[in-house]
Amino acid sequence: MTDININDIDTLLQRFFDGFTTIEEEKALERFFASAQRLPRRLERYRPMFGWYASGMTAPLPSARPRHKAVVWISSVAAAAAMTLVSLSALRSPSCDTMMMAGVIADCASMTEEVYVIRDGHRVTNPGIVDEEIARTIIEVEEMDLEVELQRLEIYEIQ
Amino acid sequence: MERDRFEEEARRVRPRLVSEARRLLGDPDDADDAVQDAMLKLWFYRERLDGYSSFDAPAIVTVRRVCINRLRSLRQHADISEADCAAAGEPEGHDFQALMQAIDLLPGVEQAVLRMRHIDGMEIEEIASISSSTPGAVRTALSRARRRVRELYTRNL
Repeated sequence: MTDININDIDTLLQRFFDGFTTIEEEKALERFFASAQRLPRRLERYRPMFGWYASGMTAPLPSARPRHKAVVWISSVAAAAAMTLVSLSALRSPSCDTMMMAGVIADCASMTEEVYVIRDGHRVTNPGIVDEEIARTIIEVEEMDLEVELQRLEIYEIQ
Repeated sequence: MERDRFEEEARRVRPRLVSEARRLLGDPDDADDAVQDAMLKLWFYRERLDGYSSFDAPAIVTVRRVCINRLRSLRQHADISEADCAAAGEPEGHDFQALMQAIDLLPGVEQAVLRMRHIDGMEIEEIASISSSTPGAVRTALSRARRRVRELYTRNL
Protein backbone atom coordinates (compact mmCIF):
# COMPACT_ATOMS: atom_id res chain seq x y z
CA MET A 1 0.00 0.00 0.00
CA THR A 2 1.32 3.45 -0.87
CA ASP A 3 1.73 6.10 1.80
CA ILE A 4 -1.39 7.16 3.64
CA ASN A 5 -3.14 10.39 2.73
CA ILE A 6 -3.82 12.29 5.94
CA ASN A 7 -7.35 12.92 4.73
CA ASP A 8 -7.96 9.17 4.96
CA ILE A 9 -6.24 8.61 8.30
CA ASP A 10 -9.30 8.86 10.51
CA THR A 11 -11.21 6.30 8.49
CA LEU A 12 -8.23 3.97 8.46
CA LEU A 13 -7.75 4.33 12.21
CA GLN A 14 -11.39 3.47 12.82
CA ARG A 15 -11.04 0.34 10.69
CA PHE A 16 -7.83 -0.55 12.54
CA PHE A 17 -9.52 -0.38 15.93
CA ASP A 18 -12.49 -2.34 14.57
CA GLY A 19 -10.16 -5.10 13.34
CA PHE A 20 -10.86 -4.64 9.63
CA THR A 21 -7.55 -3.35 8.23
CA THR A 22 -5.35 -5.51 6.04
CA ILE A 23 -1.79 -6.31 7.03
CA GLU A 24 -0.60 -3.90 4.33
CA GLU A 25 -2.73 -1.11 5.76
CA GLU A 26 -1.41 -1.79 9.25
CA LYS A 27 2.19 -1.55 8.04
CA ALA A 28 1.29 1.69 6.27
CA LEU A 29 -0.08 3.06 9.54
CA GLU A 30 3.15 2.17 11.31
CA ARG A 31 5.19 3.93 8.59
CA PHE A 32 2.89 6.95 8.71
CA PHE A 33 3.30 7.50 12.44
CA ALA A 34 7.01 6.78 12.32
CA SER A 35 7.71 9.38 9.66
CA ALA A 36 5.10 12.14 9.99
CA GLN A 37 6.73 15.36 11.16
CA ARG A 38 3.85 17.37 12.56
CA LEU A 39 0.52 15.88 13.43
CA PRO A 40 -2.64 17.28 14.98
CA ARG A 41 -2.86 16.45 18.65
CA ARG A 42 -5.64 13.93 18.09
CA LEU A 43 -3.23 11.92 15.88
CA GLU A 44 0.04 12.63 17.70
CA ARG A 45 -1.22 10.67 20.71
CA TYR A 46 -1.14 7.48 18.61
CA ARG A 47 2.52 7.79 17.62
CA PRO A 48 3.95 5.91 20.63
CA MET A 49 1.36 3.16 20.25
CA PHE A 50 2.17 2.48 16.61
CA GLY A 51 5.84 2.66 17.50
CA TRP A 52 5.17 -0.17 19.94
CA TYR A 53 3.51 -2.27 17.22
CA ALA A 54 6.32 -1.50 14.77
CA SER A 55 8.95 -2.61 17.27
CA GLY A 56 7.34 -6.04 17.60
CA MET A 57 5.47 -5.34 20.81
CA THR A 58 8.64 -5.96 22.78
CA ALA A 59 8.51 -3.03 25.19
CA PRO A 60 6.26 -3.25 28.26
CA LEU A 61 2.91 -1.61 27.87
CA PRO A 62 2.20 1.55 29.87
CA SER A 63 1.02 0.72 33.34
CA ALA A 64 -2.68 -0.10 33.62
CA ARG A 65 -2.76 1.61 37.04
CA PRO A 66 -4.11 5.12 36.70
CA ARG A 67 -1.28 7.48 37.49
CA HIS A 68 -3.44 10.38 38.42
CA LYS A 69 -5.29 8.83 41.35
CA ALA A 70 -2.52 9.43 43.87
CA VAL A 71 -1.98 12.91 42.49
CA VAL A 72 -5.67 13.70 42.79
CA TRP A 73 -5.69 12.37 46.33
CA ILE A 74 -2.66 14.40 47.30
CA SER A 75 -4.00 17.46 45.55
CA SER A 76 -7.32 16.98 47.32
CA VAL A 77 -5.59 16.73 50.67
CA ALA A 78 -3.58 19.85 49.96
CA ALA A 79 -6.64 21.66 48.69
CA ALA A 80 -8.62 20.62 51.74
CA ALA A 81 -5.81 21.77 53.99
CA ALA A 82 -5.61 25.07 52.15
CA MET A 83 -9.35 25.49 52.41
CA THR A 84 -9.21 24.69 56.11
CA LEU A 85 -6.47 27.20 56.70
CA VAL A 86 -8.28 29.88 54.78
CA SER A 87 -11.56 29.00 56.45
CA LEU A 88 -9.95 29.16 59.86
CA SER A 89 -8.48 32.50 58.94
CA ALA A 90 -11.91 33.70 57.85
CA LEU A 91 -13.44 32.52 61.12
CA ARG A 92 -10.87 34.58 62.94
CA SER A 93 -11.90 37.70 60.94
CA PRO A 94 -8.50 38.39 59.36
CA SER A 95 -7.32 41.63 58.00
CA CYS A 96 -9.42 42.63 55.02
CA ASP A 97 -6.44 43.92 53.03
CA THR A 98 -4.48 40.74 53.59
CA MET A 99 -7.39 38.56 52.55
CA MET A 100 -7.81 40.61 49.38
CA MET A 101 -4.14 40.20 48.55
CA ALA A 102 -4.49 36.49 49.06
CA GLY A 103 -7.36 36.48 46.60
CA VAL A 104 -9.78 35.11 49.16
CA ILE A 105 -12.16 38.03 49.00
CA ALA A 106 -12.94 40.58 46.28
CA ASP A 107 -13.52 43.57 48.51
CA CYS A 108 -13.81 44.66 52.11
CA ALA A 109 -17.42 45.77 51.96
CA SER A 110 -18.66 42.78 53.92
CA MET A 111 -15.81 42.72 56.37
CA THR A 112 -17.33 44.46 59.36
CA GLU A 113 -16.27 42.19 62.19
CA GLU A 114 -13.30 42.78 64.44
CA VAL A 115 -9.97 41.41 63.22
CA TYR A 116 -8.26 38.91 65.56
CA VAL A 117 -6.24 35.69 65.82
CA ILE A 118 -5.73 33.27 68.71
CA ARG A 119 -2.20 32.93 70.09
CA ASP A 120 -1.38 30.89 73.18
CA GLY A 121 -5.06 30.82 73.98
CA HIS A 122 -5.37 34.60 73.91
CA ARG A 123 -7.29 36.68 71.48
CA VAL A 124 -5.00 39.06 69.64
CA THR A 125 -6.40 41.96 67.66
CA ASN A 126 -3.21 43.78 66.72
CA PRO A 127 -3.49 44.16 62.88
CA GLY A 128 0.26 43.63 62.40
CA ILE A 129 0.18 40.32 64.26
CA VAL A 130 -2.99 39.20 62.49
CA ASP A 131 -1.52 39.98 59.07
CA GLU A 132 1.69 38.18 60.00
CA GLU A 133 -0.30 35.08 61.01
CA ILE A 134 -2.24 35.06 57.75
CA ALA A 135 0.89 35.63 55.65
CA ARG A 136 2.57 32.68 57.37
CA THR A 137 -0.48 30.52 56.64
CA ILE A 138 -0.41 31.50 52.97
CA ILE A 139 3.29 30.60 52.74
CA GLU A 140 2.57 27.18 54.29
CA VAL A 141 -0.13 26.55 51.68
CA GLU A 142 2.25 27.52 48.87
CA GLU A 143 4.88 25.15 50.25
CA MET A 144 2.31 22.37 50.29
CA ASP A 145 1.49 23.11 46.65
CA LEU A 146 5.17 22.77 45.76
CA GLU A 147 5.35 19.48 47.65
CA VAL A 148 2.32 18.20 45.71
CA GLU A 149 3.97 19.15 42.43
CA LEU A 150 7.20 17.37 43.37
CA GLN A 151 5.28 14.26 44.35
CA ARG A 152 3.34 14.38 41.09
CA LEU A 153 6.58 14.40 39.12
CA GLU A 154 7.95 11.57 41.26
CA ILE A 155 4.87 9.44 40.69
CA TYR A 156 5.04 10.07 36.94
CA GLU A 157 8.65 8.90 36.83
CA ILE A 158 7.96 5.82 38.89
CA GLN A 159 5.16 4.83 36.55
CA MET B 1 3.87 -29.71 15.75
CA GLU B 2 3.61 -28.28 12.27
CA ARG B 3 0.90 -25.79 11.52
CA ASP B 4 -0.99 -27.89 8.95
CA ARG B 5 -1.24 -30.81 11.33
CA PHE B 6 -2.24 -28.53 14.20
CA GLU B 7 -5.12 -27.11 12.17
CA GLU B 8 -6.23 -30.57 11.10
CA GLU B 9 -6.19 -31.85 14.69
CA ALA B 10 -7.95 -28.72 15.92
CA ARG B 11 -10.79 -29.23 13.42
CA ARG B 12 -11.12 -32.87 14.35
CA VAL B 13 -11.17 -32.45 18.10
CA ARG B 14 -13.27 -29.27 18.27
CA PRO B 15 -16.70 -30.93 18.67
CA ARG B 16 -15.45 -32.87 21.68
CA LEU B 17 -13.92 -29.75 23.21
CA VAL B 18 -17.11 -27.76 22.70
CA SER B 19 -19.11 -30.54 24.31
CA GLU B 20 -16.75 -30.57 27.31
CA ALA B 21 -16.83 -26.78 27.66
CA ARG B 22 -20.63 -26.70 27.50
CA ARG B 23 -20.79 -29.36 30.16
CA LEU B 24 -18.69 -27.23 32.49
CA LEU B 25 -19.86 -23.74 31.62
CA GLY B 26 -23.42 -24.25 30.45
CA ASP B 27 -23.67 -21.27 28.13
CA PRO B 28 -22.90 -22.10 24.45
CA ASP B 29 -21.26 -18.71 23.78
CA ASP B 30 -19.05 -19.05 26.84
CA ALA B 31 -18.15 -22.53 25.70
CA ASP B 32 -17.12 -21.29 22.25
CA ASP B 33 -15.00 -18.57 23.87
CA ALA B 34 -13.37 -21.11 26.14
CA VAL B 35 -12.56 -23.42 23.23
CA GLN B 36 -11.04 -20.52 21.31
CA ASP B 37 -8.98 -19.61 24.37
CA ALA B 38 -7.84 -23.21 24.80
CA MET B 39 -6.88 -23.66 21.15
CA LEU B 40 -4.82 -20.47 21.19
CA LYS B 41 -3.00 -21.66 24.28
CA LEU B 42 -2.32 -24.99 22.61
CA TRP B 43 -1.00 -23.12 19.58
CA PHE B 44 1.59 -21.36 21.71
CA TYR B 45 2.40 -24.71 23.34
CA ARG B 46 2.55 -26.60 20.01
CA GLU B 47 6.28 -27.30 20.01
CA ARG B 48 5.78 -29.62 22.97
CA LEU B 49 2.62 -31.34 21.75
CA ASP B 50 4.56 -33.96 19.78
CA GLY B 51 5.55 -35.43 23.14
CA TYR B 52 1.98 -36.64 23.64
CA SER B 53 0.65 -39.78 21.98
CA SER B 54 -2.46 -37.92 20.83
CA PHE B 55 -3.69 -34.37 20.44
CA ASP B 56 -6.90 -35.16 22.28
CA ALA B 57 -5.54 -35.55 25.80
CA PRO B 58 -3.70 -32.22 26.09
CA ALA B 59 -6.58 -30.49 24.30
CA ILE B 60 -9.15 -31.84 26.78
CA VAL B 61 -6.93 -30.99 29.74
CA THR B 62 -6.42 -27.47 28.42
CA VAL B 63 -10.07 -26.71 27.77
CA ARG B 64 -11.03 -28.06 31.18
CA ARG B 65 -8.38 -25.90 32.82
CA VAL B 66 -9.60 -22.84 30.92
CA CYS B 67 -13.19 -23.54 31.95
CA ILE B 68 -12.28 -24.08 35.58
CA ASN B 69 -10.28 -20.84 35.64
CA ARG B 70 -13.27 -19.01 34.20
CA LEU B 71 -15.62 -20.50 36.76
CA ARG B 72 -13.29 -19.64 39.60
CA SER B 73 -12.95 -16.09 38.37
CA LEU B 74 -16.73 -15.85 38.55
CA ARG B 75 -16.69 -17.28 42.09
CA GLN B 76 -18.80 -20.24 40.99
CA HIS B 77 -18.37 -23.96 41.53
CA ALA B 78 -15.29 -23.31 43.63
CA ASP B 79 -15.32 -26.90 44.77
CA ILE B 80 -14.32 -28.24 41.35
CA SER B 81 -11.34 -30.44 41.95
CA GLU B 82 -8.04 -30.61 40.10
CA ALA B 83 -8.71 -34.31 39.54
CA ASP B 84 -11.70 -33.38 37.41
CA CYS B 85 -9.37 -31.35 35.22
CA ALA B 86 -6.77 -34.03 34.72
CA ALA B 87 -9.09 -37.00 34.12
CA ALA B 88 -10.02 -39.05 31.02
CA GLY B 89 -7.76 -39.39 28.05
CA GLU B 90 -4.59 -39.03 30.05
CA PRO B 91 -2.06 -41.59 28.87
CA GLU B 92 -0.86 -43.80 31.62
CA GLY B 93 2.16 -42.39 33.40
CA HIS B 94 2.19 -39.20 31.35
CA ASP B 95 2.83 -36.05 33.28
CA PHE B 96 0.37 -33.26 32.62
CA GLN B 97 1.71 -31.03 35.35
CA ALA B 98 3.96 -29.11 32.96
CA LEU B 99 1.03 -28.49 30.63
CA MET B 100 -1.29 -27.36 33.41
CA GLN B 101 1.33 -25.04 34.80
CA ALA B 102 1.95 -23.64 31.35
CA ILE B 103 -1.74 -23.09 30.64
CA ASP B 104 -2.02 -20.45 33.33
CA LEU B 105 1.01 -18.62 31.98
CA LEU B 106 0.15 -18.78 28.29
CA PRO B 107 -1.36 -15.67 26.71
CA GLY B 108 -5.07 -15.04 26.89
CA VAL B 109 -7.20 -14.70 23.78
CA GLU B 110 -6.62 -11.00 23.19
CA GLN B 111 -2.88 -11.11 23.68
CA ALA B 112 -2.62 -14.26 21.57
CA VAL B 113 -4.55 -12.76 18.67
CA LEU B 114 -2.51 -9.56 18.87
CA ARG B 115 0.74 -11.51 18.73
CA MET B 116 -0.39 -13.74 15.89
CA ARG B 117 -1.45 -10.71 13.86
CA HIS B 118 1.28 -8.17 14.59
CA ILE B 119 4.28 -10.45 15.18
CA ASP B 120 3.50 -13.57 13.13
CA GLY B 121 1.71 -11.62 10.39
CA MET B 122 -1.21 -14.05 10.22
CA GLU B 123 -4.40 -13.32 8.33
CA ILE B 124 -7.68 -13.27 10.21
CA GLU B 125 -8.81 -16.47 8.50
CA GLU B 126 -5.60 -18.25 9.51
CA ILE B 127 -6.03 -17.29 13.14
CA ALA B 128 -9.66 -18.44 12.98
CA SER B 129 -8.63 -21.81 11.58
CA ILE B 130 -5.98 -22.36 14.25
CA SER B 131 -8.24 -21.28 17.09
CA SER B 132 -11.23 -23.26 15.81
CA SER B 133 -13.33 -20.12 15.72
CA THR B 134 -14.74 -17.76 13.11
CA PRO B 135 -13.21 -14.71 11.42
CA GLY B 136 -15.85 -12.59 13.15
CA ALA B 137 -14.80 -13.86 16.56
CA VAL B 138 -11.16 -13.23 15.76
CA ARG B 139 -11.88 -9.65 14.60
CA THR B 140 -13.83 -9.03 17.81
CA ALA B 141 -10.91 -10.25 19.92
CA LEU B 142 -8.43 -8.25 17.84
CA SER B 143 -10.56 -5.11 18.13
CA ARG B 144 -10.83 -5.53 21.91
CA ALA B 145 -7.09 -6.01 22.20
CA ARG B 146 -6.24 -2.96 20.08
CA ARG B 147 -8.68 -0.77 21.97
CA ARG B 148 -7.20 -1.91 25.27
CA VAL B 149 -3.70 -1.03 24.04
CA ARG B 150 -5.01 2.34 22.85
CA GLU B 151 -6.51 2.96 26.28
CA LEU B 152 -3.20 2.23 27.98
CA TYR B 153 -1.30 4.55 25.67
CA THR B 154 -3.71 7.48 25.69
CA ARG B 155 -5.35 7.45 29.11
CA ASN B 156 -3.07 10.04 30.68
CA LEU B 157 -2.87 12.38 27.68
